[in-house]
Amino acid sequence: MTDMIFDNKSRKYEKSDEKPSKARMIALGCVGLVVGAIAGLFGAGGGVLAVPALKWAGLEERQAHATSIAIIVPLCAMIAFVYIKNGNFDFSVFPYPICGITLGAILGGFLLKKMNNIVLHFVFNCLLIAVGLKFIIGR
Amino acid sequence: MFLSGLLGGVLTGLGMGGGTVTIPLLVLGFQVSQFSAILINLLAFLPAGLSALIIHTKNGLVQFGYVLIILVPALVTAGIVSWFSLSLDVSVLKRLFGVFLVIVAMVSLGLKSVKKN
Repeated sequence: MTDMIFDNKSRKYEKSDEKPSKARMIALGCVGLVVGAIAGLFGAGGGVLAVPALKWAGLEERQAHATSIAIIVPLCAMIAFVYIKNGNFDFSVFPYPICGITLGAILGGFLLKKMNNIVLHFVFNCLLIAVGLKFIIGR
Repeated sequence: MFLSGLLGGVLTGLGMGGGTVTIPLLVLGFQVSQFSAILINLLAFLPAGLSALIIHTKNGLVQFGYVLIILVPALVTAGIVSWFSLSLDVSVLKRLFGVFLVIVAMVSLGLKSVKKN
């Protein structure tokens, strides 16, 4: 979900006062329902759907990414709250991966400016399919 | 575990999906339970997401009208589903997550090849 975070360029955008049409608003509301369901179920993946939906609604790529973060942050906070409230967790292991992820995300954000490799993208997605299959099979 | 987080974070920052990397790494690599991995991913996203949000807002990139349209229904379903998913059998949740990963990866591959043509 953090994939669109650290590529900030200080370009300013005009605020669009244009309101989406009624049909579009209803469609986006439905997208919201699905985004919430996916994020709630998997604890991940809200942005995967929100970004293309926002682009479809007429936002530019960078606007869509920024706007999706504004949606995902409160969503994550709420799901985390539900989990902590209702689940049973051993929090002692949490700090290590959390620190790692945060540092790594910053590092990756810097690397992003230097590389944009189609081969890497292909390899990564193939790996993701393999991992997905492993989860489906179970061992 | 710190290193796996670091690796997951780097891939995340590179724009290759966040939880889709870190959750499998933690679950498959370190036998962290699926629920813990989900919560770790959620918590890890918050500081990074918040700081990004502040920067994007300053740059005027965030379209708040759209945020509300999507966020309000999303909060409703996320609340219900996340509460429900905690009582779900872990093996079922893992299978669903696997299906989700495969779909995301395939769509992502498909989009890239479409762009090339």
